[in-house]
Amino acid sequence: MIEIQNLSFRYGKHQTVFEQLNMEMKAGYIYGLLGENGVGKTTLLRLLAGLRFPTEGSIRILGQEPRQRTASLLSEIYYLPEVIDPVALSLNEYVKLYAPFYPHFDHGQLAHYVSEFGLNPTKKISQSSHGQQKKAMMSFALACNTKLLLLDEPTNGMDIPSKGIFRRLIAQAATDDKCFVISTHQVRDLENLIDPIVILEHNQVLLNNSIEEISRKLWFGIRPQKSDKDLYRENALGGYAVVGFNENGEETRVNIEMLFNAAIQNKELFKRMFIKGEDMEPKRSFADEMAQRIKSDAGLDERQQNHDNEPRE
Amino acid sequence: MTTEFSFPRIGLILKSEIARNYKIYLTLLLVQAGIFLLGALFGGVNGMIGANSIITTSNACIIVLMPFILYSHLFHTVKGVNTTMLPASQNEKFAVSLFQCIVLTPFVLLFFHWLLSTIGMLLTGVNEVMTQPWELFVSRKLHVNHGLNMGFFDSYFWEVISSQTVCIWGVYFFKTKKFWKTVLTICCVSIALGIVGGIGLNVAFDAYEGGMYTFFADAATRFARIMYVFFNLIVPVGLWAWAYIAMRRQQF
Repeated sequence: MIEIQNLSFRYGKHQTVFEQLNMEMKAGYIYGLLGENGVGKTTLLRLLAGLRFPTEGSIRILGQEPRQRTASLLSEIYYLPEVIDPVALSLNEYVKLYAPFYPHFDHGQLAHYVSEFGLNPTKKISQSSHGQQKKAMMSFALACNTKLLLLDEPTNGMDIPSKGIFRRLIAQAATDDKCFVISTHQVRDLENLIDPIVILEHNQVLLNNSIEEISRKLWFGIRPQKSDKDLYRENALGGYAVVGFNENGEETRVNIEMLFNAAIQNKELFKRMFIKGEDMEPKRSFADEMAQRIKSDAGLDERQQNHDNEPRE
Repeated sequence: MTTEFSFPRIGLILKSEIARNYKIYLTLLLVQAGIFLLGALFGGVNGMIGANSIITTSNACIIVLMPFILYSHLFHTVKGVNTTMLPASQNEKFAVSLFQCIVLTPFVLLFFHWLLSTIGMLLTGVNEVMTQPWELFVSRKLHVNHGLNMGFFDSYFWEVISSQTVCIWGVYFFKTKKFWKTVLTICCVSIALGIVGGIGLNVAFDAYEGGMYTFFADAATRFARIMYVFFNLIVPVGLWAWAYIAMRRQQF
């Protein structure tokens, strides 16, 4: 669906946002795009939408370059920015004018989303609250049934019940031929929804993996005591909430917020583990290191003894 | 509709833009009507003639500045997103913007002006409007002169549209503060042309004083024709082309 090859992007001459970024996003998934402030989440979405052009490298969506802004590609992409321009039209009027541009627009689905969000489709969008504007445009975006949906901080301004409704509607709308990319700081709003996780860091990608792959390599849980092997830990009831290596192959529930903090604190490690695909040995304590050395020395002695005892020809 | 230039889609874009901008058009028409009404109420026939002149001049200014009125938010980080992300090709969007500025706006304003003038003439009891309506466009023997005759299209309409192309160029070339940057550009170009023109005039005057009267007359006539074609044809078409290229390169 999305192929990003050697993407570099700079604002002006000196502010580099991406440097030789390579990434692929496939249909049938809801990607969560995470990162600290200013790493380029919104910029990446705007590059995908064709609102910004790469300085170097290429982006291809459904085989076309978004910078060309062709009608055929734009009808398959919907970009919902964080800050919406509220139009002086009601949702019904807005749909009447703009739905014909989207060949897969479904009026029945729109009615369902409007009903779920509790919106008044006859009220002018510009006269609604920020949260209602967001919900109105979200309903329209989902009803367009575009193959690629780009959402920038979609739950900002939504009340708590609406966030749950949003999660449910996104899960309902996701099909095998669609790709959703959601940029967010509010990971708790989107837990259990986003998979794979993409974590951006300055100029690079730290993680672009499914929850299943992450839970295979990392362990999430609570331990009573600290350990040198912990990649990240924070105080919790019962001890410490920890992110560590999954030494025993145990499947644990991925805590996205803690995953993000662990990634930011261990950038090089995460990059090698998830982007380069290296098998990382867990960090050893001195005692473990010595124990391992003694064990391997004992094994060497045994092999030497067996060799000495073999009958010589 | 997946081709890159589709008339049905152009129609949809135009419909959406008119729906978005109808309040602007309504305001302009109401202002026109207001000026005419005030002229009629306070000045009678002479008042209507005066109002007519005011409306003619204001229409010219509005037509020239219409690109800034309709498209000031083009390429704005927030307000320009919907327009750019609308599923239509850039060719179609550009064609619609030109149509709105060059055809629709003048037609709406000038037609309404003609309507007001016709009402004025009816009020003054002019019979020609009943028996010879074409006189409205051809003849100047009207009590209320709205200037809508054949000479109008040459001297008024085309020169106004030629001037408008600078604004169209400014709307597409500049991302922010479009109006002021366009004004600044016009000032700089005018100063540059003024300097070049002054040097040219000096040379021509020296030639005239040197006795080359015939040569000067011929050269001046030829120069005037070249300048007319240049500023009324080549420059507008060139600026439209430049605006199109700028649009394709514009980012957010």
